[in-house]
Amino acid sequence: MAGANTDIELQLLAGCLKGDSKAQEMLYKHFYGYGMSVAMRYTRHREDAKDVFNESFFKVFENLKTFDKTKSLKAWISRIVTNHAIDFYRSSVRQSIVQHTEHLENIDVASAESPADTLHAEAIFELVQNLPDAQRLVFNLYEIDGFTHEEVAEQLGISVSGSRATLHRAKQRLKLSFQNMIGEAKKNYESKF
Amino acid sequence: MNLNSEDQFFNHIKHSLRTQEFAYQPEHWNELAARLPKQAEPKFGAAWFYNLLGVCLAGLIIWALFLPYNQLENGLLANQTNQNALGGSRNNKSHVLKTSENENISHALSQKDEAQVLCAQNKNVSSQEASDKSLKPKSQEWLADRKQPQNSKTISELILAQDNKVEDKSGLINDSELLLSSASGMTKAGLSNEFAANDMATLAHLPIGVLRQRELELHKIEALRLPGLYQANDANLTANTRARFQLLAVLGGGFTHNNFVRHSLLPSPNWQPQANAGLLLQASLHRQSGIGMSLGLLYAFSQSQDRVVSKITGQERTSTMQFHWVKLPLCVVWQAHQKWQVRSGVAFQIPFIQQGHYWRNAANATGERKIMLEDQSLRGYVSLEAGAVYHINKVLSLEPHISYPLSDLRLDPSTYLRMSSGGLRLLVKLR
Repeated sequence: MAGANTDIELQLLAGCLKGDSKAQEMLYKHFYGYGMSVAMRYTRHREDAKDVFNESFFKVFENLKTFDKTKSLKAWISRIVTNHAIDFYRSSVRQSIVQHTEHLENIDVASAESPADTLHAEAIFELVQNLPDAQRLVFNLYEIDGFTHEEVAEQLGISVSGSRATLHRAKQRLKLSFQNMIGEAKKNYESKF
Repeated sequence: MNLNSEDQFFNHIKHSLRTQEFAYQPEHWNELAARLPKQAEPKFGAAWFYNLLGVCLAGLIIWALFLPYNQLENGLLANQTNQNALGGSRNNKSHVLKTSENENISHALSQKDEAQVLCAQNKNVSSQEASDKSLKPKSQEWLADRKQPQNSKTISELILAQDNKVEDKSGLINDSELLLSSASGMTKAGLSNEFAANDMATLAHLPIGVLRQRELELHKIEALRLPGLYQANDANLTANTRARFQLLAVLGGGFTHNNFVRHSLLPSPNWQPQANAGLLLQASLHRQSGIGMSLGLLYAFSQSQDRVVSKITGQERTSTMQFHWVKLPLCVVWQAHQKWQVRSGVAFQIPFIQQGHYWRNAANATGERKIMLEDQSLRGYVSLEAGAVYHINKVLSLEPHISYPLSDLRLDPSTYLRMSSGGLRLLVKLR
């Protein structure tokens, strides 16, 4: 992805290279929404996502001089966030699956005609975040960020077949979690009447 | 959930995950900003500050030194042209003045005082008499040096032309034009071109009144501090920030050196006596050793006198000039030692009243009082001063509870040498 930087991004980039703290803040704000969504996909909690994103942007500011302006700044930042999320996963010892159901009320089951209509963004993030770490990483890297199984395997230190199997289990788990969500939401809806 | 809906399900998940953005949380940035290395704050003595100060000072110096020269030069050129135009008429002056045209001139200029006088002189003073009275030596030199006439216009034509110009301005008499017309009619009689041009330029620029490009003023300044101001001992604030408010009554006298005042035949016009009176309110805030700021407001009055001698009649008269101005010195004070300090800054002089009795010409020998308001301008102050200052070297505190009786006041006389040019001032206390 080359040459996709906007004028604003280039101006902010120039300001950051001069050490302008205001430009740094503006650049951070400019990519906050996108970068946080990337971090949220790879982490289980919002607080973790914030830590990953801030650590990533710390690296962004540190390495801004090495950035090739002809390439996409957004993609570069996304890559840094992803790498840092993987590092965060590697250093994390938490492997358990934690079920969160506090956002089930976001599912509009009464008018649902298809799964796409029933899922709000927060619920989708919740589904992904509830995946075990390895499945969440593989799913994000392969399905969202477009890496191949070979690249995923290399980044995570697993085999290619292991990557494929992990992705399959992730999808199965997502579907199961979604069906559970639907079932619980229907129960909650029926109990109100 | 069939296959189609499963594909739709995952496509929707992927789309949502790719496009979802989160609202900005400023506290997250605050956490990161606290970790980022701080950018070095620009120091007080940053290069840009001194560059800016240097540019300002240089501009002031150039402005103060060269602008009046340019004005004078322009005046000289203009007057030189005028003189050249009149060159031919000079040669034929006696003949022209004797013709009946004088009557026409007198009639044409009957409504203008100066012209009346001029014409009256033309009537009453013959050309031979005028040459004999005061212009003979100069006229002889001039006649020896001058070239052949280059313009065939007669005096009457030129004066009429000037008169028409005056009338074009709805009856308002333009002094400079009258000056040109009258002076061209009289001073051309026997003076050299150069001298006449200088004279013209001087007269034309005298109302500006701030011909102070080079000054050497010897001041004796006495400071009187008004009661009622709060004060504190120096010791209380030694090595601390010093806030000083001074109200100074300034009485001064000196000499003003002016290269441009050459309107006298006497050999002493360059040094003119000058009297100054003013009231200076000055507030300064600076450390015992360090950098501070000083801002003052000075009303000053100045009067100078100069003896001038008519080029026409040889009569000696006194020309007085008065100036009223407000001076706004804004200085950066650097005091590294008790005895000396450097003040660098700008001081704007805003003249608001300039009065003078000027030697206009032989015909208008009584002079003419003028109040010039149109020449208000900002002037850089360029001077070299040496003198003595008597002031109460007290530090005045802003804290009202610290008060000392008036008996505690003491005079702290000191001599000083002050050199200032274009806003840069070096003050050295001699004792």
